[in-house]
Amino acid sequence: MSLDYFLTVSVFTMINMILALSLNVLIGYAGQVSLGHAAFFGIGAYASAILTVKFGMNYWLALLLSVLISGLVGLLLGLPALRVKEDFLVLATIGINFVVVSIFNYVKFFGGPYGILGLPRPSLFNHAFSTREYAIYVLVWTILVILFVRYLSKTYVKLGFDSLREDEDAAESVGVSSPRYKMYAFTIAGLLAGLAGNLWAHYMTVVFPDNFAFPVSIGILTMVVVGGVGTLFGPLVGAVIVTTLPEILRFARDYRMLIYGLIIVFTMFFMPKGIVGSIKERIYGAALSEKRIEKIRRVAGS
Amino acid sequence: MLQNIVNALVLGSSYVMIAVGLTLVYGILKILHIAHAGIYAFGALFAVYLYELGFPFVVAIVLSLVASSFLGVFIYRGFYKHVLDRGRIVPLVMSVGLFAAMEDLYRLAWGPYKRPFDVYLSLPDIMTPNLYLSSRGVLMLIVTVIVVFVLYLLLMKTKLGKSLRACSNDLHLAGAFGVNTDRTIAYGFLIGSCLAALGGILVGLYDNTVYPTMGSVPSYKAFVVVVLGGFGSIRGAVIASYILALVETFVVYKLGYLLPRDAIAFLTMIVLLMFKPEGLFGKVQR
Amino acid sequence: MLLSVRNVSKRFGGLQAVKDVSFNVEAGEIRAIIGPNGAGKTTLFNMINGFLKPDSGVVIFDGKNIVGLRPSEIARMGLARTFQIVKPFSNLSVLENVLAGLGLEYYPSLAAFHRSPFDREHVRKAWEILEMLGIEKYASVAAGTLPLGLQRKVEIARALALKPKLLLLDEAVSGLNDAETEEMISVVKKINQFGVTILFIEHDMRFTVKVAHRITVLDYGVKIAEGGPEQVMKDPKVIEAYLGSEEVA
Repeated sequence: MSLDYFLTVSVFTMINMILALSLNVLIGYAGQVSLGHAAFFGIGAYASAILTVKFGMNYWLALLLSVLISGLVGLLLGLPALRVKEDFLVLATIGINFVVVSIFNYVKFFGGPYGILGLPRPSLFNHAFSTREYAIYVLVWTILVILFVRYLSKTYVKLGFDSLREDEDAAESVGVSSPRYKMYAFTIAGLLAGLAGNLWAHYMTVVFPDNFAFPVSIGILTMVVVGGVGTLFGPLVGAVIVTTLPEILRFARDYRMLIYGLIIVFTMFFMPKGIVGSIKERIYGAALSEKRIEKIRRVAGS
Repeated sequence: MLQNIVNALVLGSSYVMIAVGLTLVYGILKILHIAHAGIYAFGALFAVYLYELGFPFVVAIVLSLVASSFLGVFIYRGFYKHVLDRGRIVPLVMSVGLFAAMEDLYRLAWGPYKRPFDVYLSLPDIMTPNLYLSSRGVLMLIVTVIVVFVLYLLLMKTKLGKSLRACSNDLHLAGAFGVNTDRTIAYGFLIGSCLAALGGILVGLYDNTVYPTMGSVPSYKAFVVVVLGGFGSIRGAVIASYILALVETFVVYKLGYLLPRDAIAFLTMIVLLMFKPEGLFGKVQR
Repeated sequence: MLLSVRNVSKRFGGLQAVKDVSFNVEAGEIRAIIGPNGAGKTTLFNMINGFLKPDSGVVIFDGKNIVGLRPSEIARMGLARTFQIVKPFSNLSVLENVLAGLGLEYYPSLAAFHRSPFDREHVRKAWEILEMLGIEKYASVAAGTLPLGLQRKVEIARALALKPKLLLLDEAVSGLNDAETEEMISVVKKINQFGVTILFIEHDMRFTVKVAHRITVLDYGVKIAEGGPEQVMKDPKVIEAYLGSEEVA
């Protein structure tokens, strides 16, 4: 096992962690079931590809813009979510994934089925990142994303999401405007997935439409579901498992979708809360956040 | 023009098969039974497989329909039934997982390539100066009409039909009135899956091609049909199927150069989903 | 006049659920809305609270016409509500349910991105509310696992966290036993003493009569009587409406 191989797997794992965390914000926190997440991933990747390859833009600027574009698209894609509930939302997101990939495949500007090639690696002080340096770069971003999501989970935005997820009407009655919070969720998810797209694209230096099709969305969903929907560590664990599993079971590479499918089915059967979720349930039972409550009781001095 | 309409009718008929089957399932259980697409594909693939093995055409079809029906029931009894009480996300995600696994299994069993459904049908093609309709298209239309009619009889005139309608209306209430909901649902899956498989076979014949992922796009469209037609409304599903096919055919006719046909269809659907979420005929589900 | 409902109507397809209903609620009072099943009471609440829009008529709350506003905006104006079929945030702890209510002032602004529900101030306020309703020992329990009576209290606690001027209670004692109903009577009175105006829908006459200052009666979407408990209970129209639909006081 060479260092390069190890680095590649690590980079993929970390990018998947970001993707899984972003989908988790949407599904796990805000309860918006989106099955087309690869679309945001793709938009971030393609946006950056176009900006750097077709317009010769500097990587760092392209990074900023491509992430913003994904966030914007996330916002726009949140609009159907406002008018469209639950099952319809699932259908709409699948459709959006399909349409986005079709656009990449069909419209010449995006390079068609042969994709876009020749993306540059980021460079600092005129030195382009080597594989090793890129891995560290991705690690930095991953840590930042984890910290961001962790921070978010302690704010009132998270509680707003929780309320929305648990009961939309009751949430409205306590002042959570459901359009606003759905938009927040989609935008944040879009921004993070777009970032993942950028990191992926410049690592691979090529983008193809098929990298962002429905099966990829299933892969991301698998990560979140297996790890534990709604938890912080769940998506991380799920990303590690889903990324490394095909590597460990080398022969299984060809059966990827079958394995994902089976993993999803089994998880839903036996561990619907995912690995992390089930562990948490084991420890805390129905007394959620018991540890946290105790701590607060002490702090609040009651 | 006439050709477009006839094409739309054929397309609509293919949607009817899947959509009606889906309505039977979704209308009762309210699960987005995405794996339905897998049964559609299975019907076609298995029929072709049997036919290539040497079974007579009709036998192959019948066997495939039987197998598909049981596959559908198996999916309900073996999988969905156990997770119905765990909220809406769990069965949905499970369905997605099943579908992904199914498609991959087909690929492993029968290869990823498109295969033809080489069968001679002793039906005439229709060939006039304005219009061409292959014998297989004729078959599709005829079968669809028969199926819809038979289904109507089933739903309106039989006890099972009554149970199905009751469950679709209000599952708990139906149970309270003594309807054996589990058995009714199982029958719903049986009939629905049979229809889906039949749809797959007919489309496989018409396009003269079958392949593992042939289910994805049509069933996505079928879902939208079910939504547009209003859940649980068979009549709505039938009408919506043809409306969607008409819209799709004509939109593609006008704008087909912009994007591939399916992307246009999907975009239309998304827009429709946004602006008419309660469907064309159905009631709003809260 | 804290709440003024004027000539409000609502039709669903062929059914006129609410027809030209008007009434006023004074600040500080406890007001009941009663009537046989299907009288349009919850529809009325949904129109006051913002979940439905009246076909005609206005709803004036605290001097402003709130027709057309979102429920979340109406909540910000000081109107809180509980639901007929209880809707707690099931997978959140009881404490978090109340903390969610305390977030009212933050949700619409960017403050939501940097205020934490679990800081000392919020937790203390939430705790006080829990103590007022006697449910503080369930603070860390998942709300969805509690029995109905406690879930109703959680809903009320959550509503109180909004510091409402007006609290809408939809069948707060439905499904409760006698002891729990008695308790709810003192809870409602206590909340009222804190300055919260209360408007509630109820079927349970014993509860209603003991708690309400004034009662408004609806039947088939129309107001048929209004006045103090004594007066209303003796009103022949009211008795007929109830006997006619086999409701027993």
